[in-house]
Amino acid sequence: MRKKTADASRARRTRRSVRKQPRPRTHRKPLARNRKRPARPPRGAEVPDAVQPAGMAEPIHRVSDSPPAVSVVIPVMNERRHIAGVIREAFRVHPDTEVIVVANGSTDGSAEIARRMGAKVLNYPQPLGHDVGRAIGAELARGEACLFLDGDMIIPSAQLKPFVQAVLQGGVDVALNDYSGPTDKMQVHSVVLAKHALNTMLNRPDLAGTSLTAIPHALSRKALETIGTQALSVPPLAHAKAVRLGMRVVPVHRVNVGKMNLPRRERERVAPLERLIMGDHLEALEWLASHSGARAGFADSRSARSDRGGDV
Amino acid sequence: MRRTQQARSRRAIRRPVASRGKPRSAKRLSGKRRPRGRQRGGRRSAIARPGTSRPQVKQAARGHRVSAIVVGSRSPVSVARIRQLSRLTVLETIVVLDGKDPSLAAMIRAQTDAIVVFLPETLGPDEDRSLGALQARGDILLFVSGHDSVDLAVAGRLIAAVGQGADLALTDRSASLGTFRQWGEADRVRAFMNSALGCAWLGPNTLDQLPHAWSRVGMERVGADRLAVPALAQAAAITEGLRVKAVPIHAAAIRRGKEWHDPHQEGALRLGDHAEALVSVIQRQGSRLQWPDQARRRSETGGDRQ
Repeated sequence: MRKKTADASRARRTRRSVRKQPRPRTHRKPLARNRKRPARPPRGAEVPDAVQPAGMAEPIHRVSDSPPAVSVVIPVMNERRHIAGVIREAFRVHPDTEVIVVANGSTDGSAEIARRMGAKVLNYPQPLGHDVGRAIGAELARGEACLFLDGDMIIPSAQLKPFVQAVLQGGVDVALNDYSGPTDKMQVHSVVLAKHALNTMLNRPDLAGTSLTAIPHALSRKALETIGTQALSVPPLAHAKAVRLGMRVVPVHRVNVGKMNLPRRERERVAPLERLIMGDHLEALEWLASHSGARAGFADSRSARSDRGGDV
Repeated sequence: MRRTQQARSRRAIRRPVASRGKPRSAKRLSGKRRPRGRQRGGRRSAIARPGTSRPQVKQAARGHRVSAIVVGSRSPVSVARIRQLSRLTVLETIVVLDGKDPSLAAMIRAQTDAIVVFLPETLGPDEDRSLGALQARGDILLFVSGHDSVDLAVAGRLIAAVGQGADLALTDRSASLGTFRQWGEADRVRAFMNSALGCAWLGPNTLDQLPHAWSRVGMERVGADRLAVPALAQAAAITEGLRVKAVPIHAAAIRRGKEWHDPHQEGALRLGDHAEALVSVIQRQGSRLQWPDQARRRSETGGDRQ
């Protein structure tokens, strides 16, 4: 749902000939001829098993009532083309997995496809806005690890497992995508800049441009409880909280979502995501100031500033 | 015949422009960056060419009363440097010194006509800027560091920028910082602050760095006491709607600028300053400043936002 850092121009380039993917039988072929093809998995990624029809051999309905090991949260808004693939890969990250799809403003039958594939589906007729679906899905999630995906990007399960493993076995609370966006240029995208700056102000320059704004990422139950699921609606805020409230935040694996992102020209024209994310980072900074002081915890070597107002 | 004449006249028009040493790319450097390839090779003359010559500096200062303020509390100040400054046809040179070296104050008083502000105690970082600004009488205030020969070209450009209507003229160092990956931690936060306040075109350029120049009007709107925390002053200048300009300086000056580097440029002091500056704007103008969130239905997450 959220567009991760990527500049649209880059994403546009990924529309080259795509290896034909095995299409799950559970949903119809798109009718329109000029539909875009699904995002191609990163090079070297495990190609999903071609023989096994997705969603059939997998546990479609969880019988047991005990909490699953992994919850996968997928916000969806009109992603009929991709949702089946996303859910298929989601079920493969761990044998004991629940998939929670938060459909909002979906009118193309995405929710129905998700339900057929065995996901728990929350349906909101109106769009919730960016990332709100994550917070809602996380409230419902019961797994020990909670993996967050987007409905528009099919990432092979092999690329998702490291995030879940880091939480379940590695003692990591927040397993981030180790993707900082394109930084080898003189002038970077404002979103890339904001992420780097926030990490610097959190005194974690080692995190570079990694952030909870980018999927995929996984959170431990402890992290969900510490941060509070509501904060997930504003990913930079959740990110700041995770770092400052003592969670183990580690970039565990790189998935180049910048290349996989689909261009969204119309959306960018109406409400540029850039502006939203800039504001999100300021909200994060505001919280940081409330938690660590106006200087974000950085020392002030000025001895006497009593006579100078700190206010602008 | 006619053609050659035309060609000659075209050349005649061009030549003076090129030989004057006028920065052809001034606009492009301060605003949108050129594609990287061209910055490296090809027509690099625009950056590398020696900057404004001295007559132009004098021209820039003409009609203005320029106070040059040497902030010397954290760096050695040489007499030669102060003499050099007076060549800029400044109205006055103010040297701010703290208690490290009392004999220096006496020496400068004896050997130059500079106004020396001497404080026996140790000053905090950048407090000398406030003190100097309070003393200055000019309508353009040029702040320079104490320990390098003043690059007259750079100083001249700054004065010229203020003379032409800017309220705050910074040096544009972005060309010397390399790609984003090579930036320092403080540079990231500086660029973020500028961006968040709606001045993305300022890039990582900062009032932390010397030299820079204020118009008197601009300085008074921000307040002399705020100059002691450069990030606060910069944020105030932007939010007050002052005209802030980043003046491109040529490569040699940027390289020399690296020698001005002092330990306070990076690290906790600057990072904290910028956080503080942004937070204070947030406290006045609301948490998201001019970046509203119009689409999220946060109430659906069950409760107020945290």
